[in-house]
Amino acid sequence: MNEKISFDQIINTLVQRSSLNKSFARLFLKEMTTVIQQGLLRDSIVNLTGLGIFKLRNVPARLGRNIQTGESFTIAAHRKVLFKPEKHLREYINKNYQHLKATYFDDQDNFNFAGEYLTKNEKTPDSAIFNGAATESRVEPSKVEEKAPVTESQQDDFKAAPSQNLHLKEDENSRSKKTPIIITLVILISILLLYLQFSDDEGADSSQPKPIDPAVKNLEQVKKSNNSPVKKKNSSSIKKAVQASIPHKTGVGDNLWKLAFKYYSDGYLWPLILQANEDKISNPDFIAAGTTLSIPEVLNKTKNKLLAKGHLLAYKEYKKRGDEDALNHLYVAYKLDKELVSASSSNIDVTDIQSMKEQFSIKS
Amino acid sequence: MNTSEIVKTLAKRLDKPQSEIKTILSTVTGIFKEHLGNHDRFTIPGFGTFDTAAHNPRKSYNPHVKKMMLLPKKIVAIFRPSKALRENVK
Repeated sequence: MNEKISFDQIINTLVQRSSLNKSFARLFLKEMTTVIQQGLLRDSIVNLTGLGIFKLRNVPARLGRNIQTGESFTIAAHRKVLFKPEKHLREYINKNYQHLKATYFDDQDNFNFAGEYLTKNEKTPDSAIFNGAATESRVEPSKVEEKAPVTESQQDDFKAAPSQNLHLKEDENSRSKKTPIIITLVILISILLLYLQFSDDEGADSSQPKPIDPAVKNLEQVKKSNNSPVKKKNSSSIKKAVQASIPHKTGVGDNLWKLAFKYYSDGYLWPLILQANEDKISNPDFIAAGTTLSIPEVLNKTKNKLLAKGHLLAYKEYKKRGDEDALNHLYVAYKLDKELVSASSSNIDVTDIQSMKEQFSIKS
Repeated sequence: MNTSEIVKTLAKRLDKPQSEIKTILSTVTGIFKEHLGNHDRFTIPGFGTFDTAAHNPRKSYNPHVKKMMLLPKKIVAIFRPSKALRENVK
């Protein structure tokens, strides 16, 4: 096992088995290797039955570095000899571990069993080999005996270690199981409290401004100033329209125009989606893939108002980035809902309104 | 180049009948195989070293089944070409 066999030993066994003289055996091996080399140079592949395939592989030139001096130099392109043993030879070499097959695990936890599996599988063939060695070579039985208990104790250690780990893991698991429960409980309670507060507020005064959306605030201020019953109806319908929304999980390559075209069959209505997902979209030109947007179902009556809000939002976003499109969006918003623009004038640059009016020749 | 071609060229070079060369060649490969099966290491001068190495068991991922798996320990043959062969083949 794992001995170094000298060339002379090989020659001697060849002489014993084939009744050749020693010099011819030497010559034969030398000629054989030269023929293989020639075959490699000629075909770059040599198939020798009973041993395997010798092959040449092209290695492209690459940059190397001298470890001592740190200088970089190019390693020239060259060819490399590969040896792939025959299947029969491979199996013969691996005969001690032939019975072992690759096994799958489903979970991360099963890796503990995998550890045991490792030690067990190492145990059986090794012990078999040791026994075989003991029977074959009587010269050093004491060594074998010394070796065997050591390996056994090591395996015991191995076995003990995973079980301890298992206990530890169980503790960790119980802790980690508790923490999410607590977190969910806290979240649930907070949601309940929030809901209660909201419902109280609504019960007390339905026209109180909500702190979520500045645009909504403005709208409601407008409503307050007008105090007409028709507008109130409108607001309720707006709420309904916002509430009835379709969730959409964005994929790669989605944009607002595409989504608007898909759901409203009109790309120009994309500001509606922007308006409904103000908190999720920071840049109207780019939606991160994998976010769930709510696509509002819009009634014809409320369309213009929401669209105006969406365009105002778009104006704000484009204004932040100094985009020229900002003015266009402001113009559209102004066209759709003048009151909204005038009401939310605090959010709009006065110069922008003036330049917009100049550009599109609107008489104030 | 395959075994029959090797046998032919060897027969020409050594001036021996092909059948004889064939038996010698099979004996040589048999000796190589025997030594490799015993996990021994041996060198053919001017050609290279034949050796075996143990690959320890390791975790691996099967992308087809998308599962982690355990590959068992195995022993593989290794051939290291000698410097002369490497230089000649370059």
